[in-house]
Amino acid sequence: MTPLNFVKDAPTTIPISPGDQERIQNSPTGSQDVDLQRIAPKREERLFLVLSIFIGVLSGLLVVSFRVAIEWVQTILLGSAPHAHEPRLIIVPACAGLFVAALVRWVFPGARGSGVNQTKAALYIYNGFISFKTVIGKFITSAIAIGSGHSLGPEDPSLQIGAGVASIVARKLRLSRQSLRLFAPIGAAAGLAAAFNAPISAILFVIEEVIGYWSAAVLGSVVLAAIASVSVARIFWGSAPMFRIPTVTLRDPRELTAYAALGVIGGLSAFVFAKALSTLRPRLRAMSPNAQLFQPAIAGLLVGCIGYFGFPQVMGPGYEVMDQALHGQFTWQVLAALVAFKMIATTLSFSSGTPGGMFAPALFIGTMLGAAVGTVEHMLLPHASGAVGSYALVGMGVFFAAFLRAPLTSVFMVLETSGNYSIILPVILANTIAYLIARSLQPTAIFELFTHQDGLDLPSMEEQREEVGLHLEDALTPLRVPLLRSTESLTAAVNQLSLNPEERAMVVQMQDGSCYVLQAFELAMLVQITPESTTLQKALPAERTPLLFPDLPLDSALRHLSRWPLLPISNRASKGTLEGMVTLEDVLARYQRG
Amino acid sequence: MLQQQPRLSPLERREKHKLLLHDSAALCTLFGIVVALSFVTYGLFHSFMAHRGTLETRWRIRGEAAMSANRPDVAVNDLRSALAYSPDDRTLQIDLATALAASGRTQEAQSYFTTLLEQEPGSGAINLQLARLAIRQNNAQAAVDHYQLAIDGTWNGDAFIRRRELRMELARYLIALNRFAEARSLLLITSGNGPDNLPLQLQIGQLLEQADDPADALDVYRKAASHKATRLQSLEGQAHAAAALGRFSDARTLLQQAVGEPSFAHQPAPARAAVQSELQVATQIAELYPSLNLPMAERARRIARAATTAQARLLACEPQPLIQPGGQAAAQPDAQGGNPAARQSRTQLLTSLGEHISSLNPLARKPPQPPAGVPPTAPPSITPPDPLSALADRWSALATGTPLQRQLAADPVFAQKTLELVLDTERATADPSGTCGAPTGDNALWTRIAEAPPQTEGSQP
Repeated sequence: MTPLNFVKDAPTTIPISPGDQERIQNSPTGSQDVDLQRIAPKREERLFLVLSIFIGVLSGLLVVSFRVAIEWVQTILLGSAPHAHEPRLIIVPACAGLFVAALVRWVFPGARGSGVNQTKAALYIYNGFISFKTVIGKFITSAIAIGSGHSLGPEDPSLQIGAGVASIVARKLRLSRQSLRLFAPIGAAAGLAAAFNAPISAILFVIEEVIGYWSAAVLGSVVLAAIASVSVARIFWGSAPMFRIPTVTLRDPRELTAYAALGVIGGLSAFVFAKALSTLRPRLRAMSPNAQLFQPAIAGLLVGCIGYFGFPQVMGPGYEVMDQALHGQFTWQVLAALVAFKMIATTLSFSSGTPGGMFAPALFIGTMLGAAVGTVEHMLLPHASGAVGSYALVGMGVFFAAFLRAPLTSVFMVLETSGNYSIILPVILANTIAYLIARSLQPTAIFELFTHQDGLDLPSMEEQREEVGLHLEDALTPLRVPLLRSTESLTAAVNQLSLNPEERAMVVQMQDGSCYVLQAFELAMLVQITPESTTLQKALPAERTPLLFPDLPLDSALRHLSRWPLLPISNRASKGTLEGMVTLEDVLARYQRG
Repeated sequence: MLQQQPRLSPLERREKHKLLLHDSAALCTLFGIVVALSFVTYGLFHSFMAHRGTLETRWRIRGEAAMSANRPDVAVNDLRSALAYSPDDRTLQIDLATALAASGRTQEAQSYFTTLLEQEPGSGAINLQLARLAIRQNNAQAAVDHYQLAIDGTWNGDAFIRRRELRMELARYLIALNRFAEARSLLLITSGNGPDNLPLQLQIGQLLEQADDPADALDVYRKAASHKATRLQSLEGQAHAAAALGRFSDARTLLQQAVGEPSFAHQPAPARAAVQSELQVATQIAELYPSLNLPMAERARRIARAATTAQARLLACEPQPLIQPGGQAAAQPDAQGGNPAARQSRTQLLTSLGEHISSLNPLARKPPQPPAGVPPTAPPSITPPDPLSALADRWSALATGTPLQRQLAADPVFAQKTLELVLDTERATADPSGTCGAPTGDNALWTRIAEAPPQTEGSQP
């Protein structure tokens, strides 16, 4: 299938301009790969690591600029400290929403959405192609939208910007299509790492949510790029974590009950939030293009109203508000109100198609939830509960795990952000509970839901993670053919075959435990050229059947079944003991059963 | 094993060279882009950081101005804005929490301070604010604990002064809680730590007086009196303390000295009037009091006069309603507001006593007659002892038939016993909300004498 076919079949929800279509068609093809492979076979391998560092540095610089741009826009448009009852809180997001919608519709069609699904689409549909225009568009439109107060975050756009940078660099160096596909997640990890200032979380997220598998080939480059981008970001922002983390401790093991409660509340809240998004978004997207043009403006107006009438904290990414909650600066009533209004504001902003990410809102809601639970706990059991900041931090991970369905990333994010291992127990407990509750209430992960709503069919990383692969033991049958020792003679083999004339093969086990599958026609040939008293050991060629064990993947047998009619399966613990055998029919039958 | 290189055609070799050149150029370009982007990012970042610094300063100044103008609500917003630009600024954090507390957002402030304290458990400033919040929430023990932690905590630069101020603040709070012993300890520590700070010593003296420790207050005032600058205040303070100790003669002398001070004339008129009034009281008490240093005749005369005053006061009192074991009044008050049975019993006693005293003591006035027509009734079988009736009994027991003044002059033990009865009577009838009403005239003066600490009696002039 050519890239052109992909583009033709691609849904309109991931818009590709005609110019980009042409570029995708002109992207490196298999024939070019062959030429380059011949004249410079090691070129890509050598370039890969160097380019990973360049991509990391470029992504880091762009993400720093992106964050500064957002803050500049916010300062210019909303003022240095937006407070409730300022009319511009209503006017600015509405006007910015209209402006951004126009830019997305007529100038940067690829900039719509958060950036995570767009990066996955680039990876799985467009051979890792992300245009320069999309990168610029994402930068500008997201900066305006988030800076003007839309309740969205900069992490997902940063991820797409990083992936875009990687894609551009790989294309300019005329790397193969396979490399182009690999570079997109490398850039994504770099962009996210710089945005989070947390390289491990970014690497894990990209592996957990974008690539979906661990590959040694990619891992090295992903790590290099992430470290390079975080190093660049830290030159500017400093090495301090994203939030000022208070002292986090688990004061009393009984506190785990409160953390478990936080997990339950987090799981339920994530479900409510996901439900709101999955309900409103398709309805808004089903409207006419002209109506869609005004959706970000209306969303901005409503978000602005929330800010105007008392909760300006919900506008923008809200990092400083999270910081305040981590330091116990709000009452539980305020925290609960912030959770509710942030959910509403983010649902409106995101569903309207305004460019911007979901990470920061998810972290915001989680932090407020955690702080609220911690504050209540502190009121009820002042001597048995730890700092509110601990709860806020755990809450951050809880909501992230439940809403974005990235449990591993959420745990490491909390640990990396806090720099404190002592909180691991509550984090794992609460995250697991929240994740399980959210999953049982809404089986489809939110990003996957969005891809379905957009008419795409991208692989579900959550399903991939949980996919149970088939193993040889699943197709294993008892040994149905004669088993002979290598010390026995050809006569014994002939006799055995004559006793079971329907058998077309037999397994000969050597003294070292290895096996040879002797077929009837081979035996007939051997008898003609070798004296019948010759032992099988001497008569048989040196070739042996592959040593296979029951826990190996089922497909590992397939490539050997063209040579051997059956394959003996050995026991790992006891050398020379056979567990059974598999044939091509057994394997295919097992695959057909599913 | 070394991999054999494929043999390339001349065209392919040329292509390979082209590719190498292309890659080198691409990497150089990439490097150039990185450098250029670094400069752009650096410029953008530093311009913004500088702007953030300006904004932080602006909001901080506004917040501080709002706090100074007693507008904590405004200050909360301003300081919060300043903190957004400088989140690690400790002073700003404490200022914001203080503003929250000042604006009545006690719970928010409490939560904020608690979190700050978790980050810096030994902070004196944070503990102080938490102590003040605890007072607002009527949590006395938490307040005292936080005050103690604040005193023991860390302070920047002026730790000595802050701890001293804190001890004073805590002492005032403890006095308000009637925890005088703890307050006294704190005040004495503070006094010992700042012996040369005269204004402080005067404050400590005043607080010691409030903490029911006039003796230590007097010592503190005496030390302060050795300095000219605070002589007037310390003399006044000493006089108060001396009066509180019952040493009215000393008080009179000290107040006379205070009035004689040149700076007294420059005092505000109300302050001068108050001192003059105290001097007058001290003088009157000194004239009333039957000091042991007086000649026996004069002392007897003063005690006899005091006895008459005390008896008259006792007689004027309405009796308490008698309580039966069931908890109900044994009898309803009569038309005059008294219990008829108790009234009659005490009236009979006092009548006989009054008659006796008036016959013996020419200074005594005839006590008022009990109301006529009160039928004699037997006292209730089980009644708690009425303190006023008990006093009346004691007065009655004093009557021996000999003229009182002569007996007082002749028998120092009797004189002392009579004086003690006078003081007990004045003490028992002192409560202004009781049935005796507020003491006036000589009774008021005797009440002050009676309420003075007994151990200072011997030091009377």
